Amino acid sequence: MLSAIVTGAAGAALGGTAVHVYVAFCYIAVAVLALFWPVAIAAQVVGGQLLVANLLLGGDAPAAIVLLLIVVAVVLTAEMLGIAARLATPVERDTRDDLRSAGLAAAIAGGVFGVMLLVGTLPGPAGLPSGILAISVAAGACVLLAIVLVSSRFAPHE
Amino acid sequence: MNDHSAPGRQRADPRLPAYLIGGFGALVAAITTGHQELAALGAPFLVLAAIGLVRREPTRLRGSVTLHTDRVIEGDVITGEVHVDWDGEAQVDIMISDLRGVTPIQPEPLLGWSLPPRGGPVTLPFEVRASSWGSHDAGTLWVRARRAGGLLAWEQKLATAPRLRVLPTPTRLDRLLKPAAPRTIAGVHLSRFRGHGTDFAELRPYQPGDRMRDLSWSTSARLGEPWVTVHHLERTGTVLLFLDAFFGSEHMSTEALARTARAAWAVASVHLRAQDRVGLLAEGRTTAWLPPRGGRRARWLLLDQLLAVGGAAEDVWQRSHRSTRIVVPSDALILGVTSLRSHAFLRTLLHYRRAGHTSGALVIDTADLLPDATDRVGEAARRIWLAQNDAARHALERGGVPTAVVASEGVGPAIAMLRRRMNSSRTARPRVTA
Repeated sequence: MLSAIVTGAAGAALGGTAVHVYVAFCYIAVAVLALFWPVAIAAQVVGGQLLVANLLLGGDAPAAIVLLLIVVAVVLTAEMLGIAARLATPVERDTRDDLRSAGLAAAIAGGVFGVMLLVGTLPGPAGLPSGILAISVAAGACVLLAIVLVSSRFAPHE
Repeated sequence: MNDHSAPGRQRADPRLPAYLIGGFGALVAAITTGHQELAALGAPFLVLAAIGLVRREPTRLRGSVTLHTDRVIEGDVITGEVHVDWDGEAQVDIMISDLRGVTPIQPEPLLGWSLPPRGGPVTLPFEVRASSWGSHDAGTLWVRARRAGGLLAWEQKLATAPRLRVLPTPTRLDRLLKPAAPRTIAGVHLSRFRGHGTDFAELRPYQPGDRMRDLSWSTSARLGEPWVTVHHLERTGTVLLFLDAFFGSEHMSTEALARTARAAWAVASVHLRAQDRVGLLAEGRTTAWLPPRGGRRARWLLLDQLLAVGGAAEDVWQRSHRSTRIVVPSDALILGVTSLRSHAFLRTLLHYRRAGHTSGALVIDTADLLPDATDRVGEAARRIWLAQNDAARHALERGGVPTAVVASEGVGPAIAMLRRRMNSSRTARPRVTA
């Protein structure tokens, strides 16, 4: 919850407009809701993306490292909420492995975001506009993921 | 032990739809608006979703539950083991749910284990305490397995725990009720008929046909003519326990039924030991009918029927209806055991009394189970409840059914009281029928 509050506050402070403050407030509210209703983790992720997108596309975008840290915080919050959902039983649980995998997921998300930002600055091949490469890579990953999902749905179960 | 491995149900972690929506949504926004930054924003979530789905092969789960004993007395500790096996390495949650008639001791507050990522098999010991009498299914084994770092889990009901028979706590009782008309098998009740027995009945002048061994030599010498000693016949009686099984699902109701059954079992045990024939009739949400019979077999049959009633009290969905015809022997003493919760039960008991059966009722005191009155409304509700109980008791008394309250001192004093009241009213006719 602390990471959600810090992320929201940072987003509001960096944006400095009423819209940013409103989005940050909604993000924190949704994160609190997700603590009790795990389905709302999707809304928390989308809220975090809206926060970052507002900063990214705003006139005075902050440094890439700040955005990267906000993306890492959004993923970390989602992972923590996932752990909280699994902890919502009276069964005693050792969370060390869960915390380790949450940290790993946040690191992977930060790394991918940084790489994609870098790729986005590269000039497009064969005279295409800059950034088309990033969209292509993301679209390719998307198609691959769709294939994985479809194959798992129809895979023969033993 | 019950072991089966039906196909498991696949469940997605709540993060999976979150990452998919975030990733796809940002990508669509990037393509439609032409901002490549949005593609960069969606990519991490797509990658996390892909990593979570990499190890998505189903985990085959196998498991069983073993109890080290299947027959215990209320309050006993039962030990058992859960045995679970699975393919590969996985994070596994194990739980025994739907516990009936037992309370977890180790682990507590519920029988559940969460294992870090590892390979199977595992054997997990547990301890439970038999908390309420009856014949129960001791629980259902559920297992959920998730590959390390995966976003999919497989959940499966693997086994049901063996059936457990929790016997009521033994209650000491050394008094018997007097059945209406004792039978011809040797027992301990003093018959109103006179004949060949050991208990003295009277002295009378000798009549032709009397046995020489019955001559009272001292009386004959004193009176100058032959006199014989007459003894009471020793015969057994028939007792039909009529159990009030009208109960709800709340704790007070089930506890009241447990007390009712303990009292019934105490009375039945002592009468069976005295060679009486004992039967059981339960009316209410669950029904039971055991024609009166004696001996060791009757004891077990009676216990089985009582345990079935107890099991029904723990299982709120269970309903049973009797299909066999009830034939109550005309000489049976009908002993109602009730907490006065049901008017239908009281009507039936009065019906038997009007039909000419010798009847009595042990009223189980459940006033201590009422919640504490915290305000005037609660106090008034409590008094109304007690007044309704009194009214029900008096209705029985007016109908010719003597009653005695089984309070915290146990069944013994209540039986003594009921015995006195039945003796005094044995010749009286019922005045009013309620």
